[in-house]
Amino acid sequence: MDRKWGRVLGAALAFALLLQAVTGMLMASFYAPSATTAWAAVAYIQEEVTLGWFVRGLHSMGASITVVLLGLHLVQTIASGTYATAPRRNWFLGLVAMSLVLAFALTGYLLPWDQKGYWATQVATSLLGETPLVGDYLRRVVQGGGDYGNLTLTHFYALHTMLLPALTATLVVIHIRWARRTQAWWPEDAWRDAIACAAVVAVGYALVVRAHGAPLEAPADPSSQYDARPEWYFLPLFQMLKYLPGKLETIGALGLPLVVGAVLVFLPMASRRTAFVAVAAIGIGAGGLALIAKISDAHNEPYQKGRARAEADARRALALAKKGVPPAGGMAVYDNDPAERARKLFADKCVGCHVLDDEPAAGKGNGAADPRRANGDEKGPLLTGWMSRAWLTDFLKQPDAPKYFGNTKKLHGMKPVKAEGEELRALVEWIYAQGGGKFDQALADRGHEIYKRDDCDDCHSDDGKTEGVDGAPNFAGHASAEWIEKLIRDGGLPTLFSDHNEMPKLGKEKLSDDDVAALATLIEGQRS
Amino acid sequence: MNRRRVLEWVVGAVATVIGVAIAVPAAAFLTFPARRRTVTGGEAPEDVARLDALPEGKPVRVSVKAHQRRDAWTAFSDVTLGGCWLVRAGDRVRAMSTVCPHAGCAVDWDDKGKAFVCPCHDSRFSLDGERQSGPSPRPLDTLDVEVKDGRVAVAWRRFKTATTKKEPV
Repeated sequence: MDRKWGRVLGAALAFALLLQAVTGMLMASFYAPSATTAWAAVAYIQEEVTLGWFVRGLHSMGASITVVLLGLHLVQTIASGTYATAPRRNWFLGLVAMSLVLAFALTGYLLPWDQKGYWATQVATSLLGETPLVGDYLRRVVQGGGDYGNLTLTHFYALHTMLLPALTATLVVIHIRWARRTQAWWPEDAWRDAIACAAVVAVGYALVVRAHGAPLEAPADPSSQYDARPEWYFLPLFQMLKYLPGKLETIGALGLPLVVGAVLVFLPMASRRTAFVAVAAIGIGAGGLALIAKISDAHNEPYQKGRARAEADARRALALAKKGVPPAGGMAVYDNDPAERARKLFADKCVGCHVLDDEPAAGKGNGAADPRRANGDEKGPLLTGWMSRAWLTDFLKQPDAPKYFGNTKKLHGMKPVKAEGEELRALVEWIYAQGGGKFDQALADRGHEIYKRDDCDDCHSDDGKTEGVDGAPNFAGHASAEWIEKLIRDGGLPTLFSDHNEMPKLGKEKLSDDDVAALATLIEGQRS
Repeated sequence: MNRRRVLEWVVGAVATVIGVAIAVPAAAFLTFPARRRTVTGGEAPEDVARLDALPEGKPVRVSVKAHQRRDAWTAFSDVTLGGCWLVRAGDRVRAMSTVCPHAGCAVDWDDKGKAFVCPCHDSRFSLDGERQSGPSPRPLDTLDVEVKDGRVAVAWRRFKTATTKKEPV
């Protein structure tokens, strides 16, 4: 490399750090470091603030660019022989500054409080906690207590935006002053440095635009399954941890960086050839490990599925965040989803008398039914698959079974229908058709004949006006969302269960119209 | 021009380009709150009381809550916006902000003296809010009221203090 152009790497690196300071300060004016606000604030920067995605993307891409320039600067210092001729203290200072840059990356990763940052940082603080003797204490100090929370964010934020910048800036200024220039900087070197800085901006902007900024994942969910990966420059360490079981892990995670550090510390004493071989060995080793990590992830099907799920979760969370994030914090953004809210309302108002097992919200849990829901002696009918054809078919044969109206006190006495086979199917189709949705008209018409032939209409009506006998509901609009809303508000209406109703009324003071609509949608959804 | 001058021009030009390239997006980002409302909600009248619960001719203090309020990224529900005095006259209700137009203290009702009194600087106002004495530059600030189906709703606003004209903040 041309010596004159080689020297611009230092300037480009310093400039990249400066750019990080600028984008960091910009984001700091829109960010709030707490467990309840961090994700929401970053989502706001990303989605609402003018060019927020760009500024945040530039900060994230800037970190990668800084690490790359750091590596190049190191290699160039060795290749040019400067590492041996320059004052030794400046070599050491550079190494300290380098570790500070990596500390920046580590602390910044957590700040969005998204899945990626949360889980990757868990690994980092766990490893820190395994440091012999002082580990647990150190971990508690750094993360502001035993658990992740508000103090973890305020601590990481203070480190990332105050302590580390102050230290790094000081070291970099001294580092530059100590770097001996053989000729006047102005303007002979300055113009090359200026071009290099312009190149940093150009490359950074191009990469950010191409990548559409930096991804923000779903809000941190401590209960979720998440396959954490660090940023690319920590991948070698990540990969190495896979090979080191138990105690060896601690030694590897803390020891190997120390070994690499020691090699770099003693480098100025080595010949240029030895130094070059050492750095090349570190580079190839790290690059190789990172490559293995990438390749094994590419062939890891569960990981790829997890990625797809994480991306879908992120899209869903960001879309819901457009309505604003409830004060409870990032995870509460899912409450903006009417279906999610309906499930919570159901758990709050309906569980105890009814059972409704369905798929939990995307990305949460493993798909198993919530074991808290059923206890076997519910007073009201089963709502899982409620008024679907399968539910109706089973119900019509045993209306007084405990899972239907066996445990109600007043709603009793409906006889199992006599119709079988095709006739039963037709009857079910007619009842199903009353609530709307797709149905077979001919089959439903046949069902209506059976409804009359078998004297169902002795108790039931279907005109939307007539009160049934002994609480037999009128079939007009039966099980439609609108019908369910009426039932939730007041099941004692003459066309519903009239004076046989046992379900508590949920008036406007207990449930808003929106809430009733959300619940009705959830329950109506069981039909299909 | 010698080489030195040319190089100086090059450095200057490149530095300017870099500066502009950073300053433009930075300014667009930073000035976002000046161009967009970041706090919304609570502009419409909010339900505060039942009409028949208000006594005739005697002020009642209520707090006005926004059902929904958006503050940058957070969506709050039931956020207290401020207080107001309600004075009923038949089917009509007069609502006045509790914020004293003088310096922003909370005005109280003196039932003996039948007047609103500011505890800070002793401004006094009549039952309908007219200034009787003290340093307040204007009467108590009235708020928009809606009486519908026996319910009273008030649109709460904050006004500039220490001015003779009533202007929203």
